[in-house]
Amino acid sequence: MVFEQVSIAFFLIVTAIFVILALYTWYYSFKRESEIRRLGEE
Amino acid sequence: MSMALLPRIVERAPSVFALLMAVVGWSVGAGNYWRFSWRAANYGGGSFLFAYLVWLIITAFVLAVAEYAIGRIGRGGPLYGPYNFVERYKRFAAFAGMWMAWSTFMIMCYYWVVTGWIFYYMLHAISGTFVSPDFDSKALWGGFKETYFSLGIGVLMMVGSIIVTGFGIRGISLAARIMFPVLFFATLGLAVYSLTLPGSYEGLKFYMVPKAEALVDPATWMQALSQVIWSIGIAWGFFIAAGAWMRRRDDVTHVSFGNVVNDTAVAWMAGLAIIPLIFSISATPYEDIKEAGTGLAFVVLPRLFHEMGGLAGYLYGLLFFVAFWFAAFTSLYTIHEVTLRPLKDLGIKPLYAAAITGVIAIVIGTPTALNLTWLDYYDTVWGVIGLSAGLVFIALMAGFLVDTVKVRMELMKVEPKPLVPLGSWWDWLVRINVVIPVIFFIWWIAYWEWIRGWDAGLHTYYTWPGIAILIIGGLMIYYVTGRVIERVKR
Repeated sequence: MVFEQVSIAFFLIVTAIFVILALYTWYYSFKRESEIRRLGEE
Repeated sequence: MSMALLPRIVERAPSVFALLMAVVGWSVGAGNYWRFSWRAANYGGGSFLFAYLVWLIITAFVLAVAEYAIGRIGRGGPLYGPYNFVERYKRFAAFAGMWMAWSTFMIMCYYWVVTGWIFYYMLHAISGTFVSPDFDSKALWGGFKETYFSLGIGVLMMVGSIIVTGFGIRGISLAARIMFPVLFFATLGLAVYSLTLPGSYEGLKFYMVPKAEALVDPATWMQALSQVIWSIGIAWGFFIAAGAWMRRRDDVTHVSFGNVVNDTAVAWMAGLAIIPLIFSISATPYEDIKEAGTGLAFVVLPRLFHEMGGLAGYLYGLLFFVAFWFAAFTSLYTIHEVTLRPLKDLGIKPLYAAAITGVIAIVIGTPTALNLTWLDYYDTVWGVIGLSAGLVFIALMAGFLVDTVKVRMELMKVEPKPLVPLGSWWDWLVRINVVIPVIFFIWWIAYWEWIRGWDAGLHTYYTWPGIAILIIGGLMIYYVTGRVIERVKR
């Protein structure tokens, strides 16, 4: 059924987006850390 | 803020990544595995997932930011943070923080037991018990639960937690930096592998196709709401404690967003790892999918690993229980941190604070290890009612007891620029969230009273004593908190 396949595809893509966003927050941590180091002092 | 109460022991996160791993280790716990997949499968599949997305946006992110703000701007844990943060009703705010710490403490009293169970199963996964020819999953669980042996393993978990939290934020973030990436990629691996199993499509249909009748059923929305709140870990007081770890340039919106997306990624991957597996391997998938919690994790899944057999069954079981235990343990020691932080703020050394709270938790939690009825009892009284009240407190403090706009401005002026720009939508959503737990609570009562029948749950022998304990305990906390603050100010 098309509806089944479309909804499964949709939620699989959403899951993948969450995984990518999660990994992005890890990457962003390092990016922000180097920005903080550059701005100096705490 | 000349009247601010200053913590005697100040800890700051060593780096942004260390902070992020510490806080996502908090959010991702045992519930991401054994609760999420069961709820998603039994409350409407795709409809549940849709409701989950809506609640993430309306309530989870918004309240996470508010709770972090209390710790960050208030510069203290559950006792000092709320007191310093609010502009009026300061004594109430300190009480609200301690109420959350109390609920969290009572949850810790059984969480070490649960963490011990998972650890024991992880050891069995490592030693290959599940794939040995004469393995019987019911016999293994039946012979283990409620024994002194299971109590002993639980105590070991609490000792581990005392060691980790004894080192403060350095211990916590070090453990999280090792354990969280491992559990994340292990769960990812399982999710991808389970999609390749023959017959997994039936499971995907069950998990992800929306059912029209479920979309209009309040139960779907309420189950999704309570899963979101419980899973991200809002109103336990942890984000207050973690907010106080933040350095001047750390960003509240980054970690809040990190909590939401990392927690959801792991939960949804765990759903993919579990549900298609059940439909692919089991001869009775529709019965097995109804099993929640211990029945799912300790009876159904080990049986499926056994039926898979060989190297695949061994590796699947190993990765699953390693990820599952890492998730539980990173939540155990962060729960512990919430409960010991008020002691640290008062000046007690981290290791002593950890040992004192740890030992008391072992004493109070021992009945839950020996009799699972007690575990359900603690779970209902503090896990459901206690934490629901905490939600109201967070929204009340950030939405009504301070100038919410000023709080937002304060969070937005951080350099480098924050990850998520907050607008006036945030102020409004925080305030609106005051009513959400109230709706949740009314639904919860209605559910037991009208749908399940008078004697189905709410009126069992233990519910009313539980509510009495909450009221008496609340009054005691209000009194003691007030006295402690008066003494500290002098």
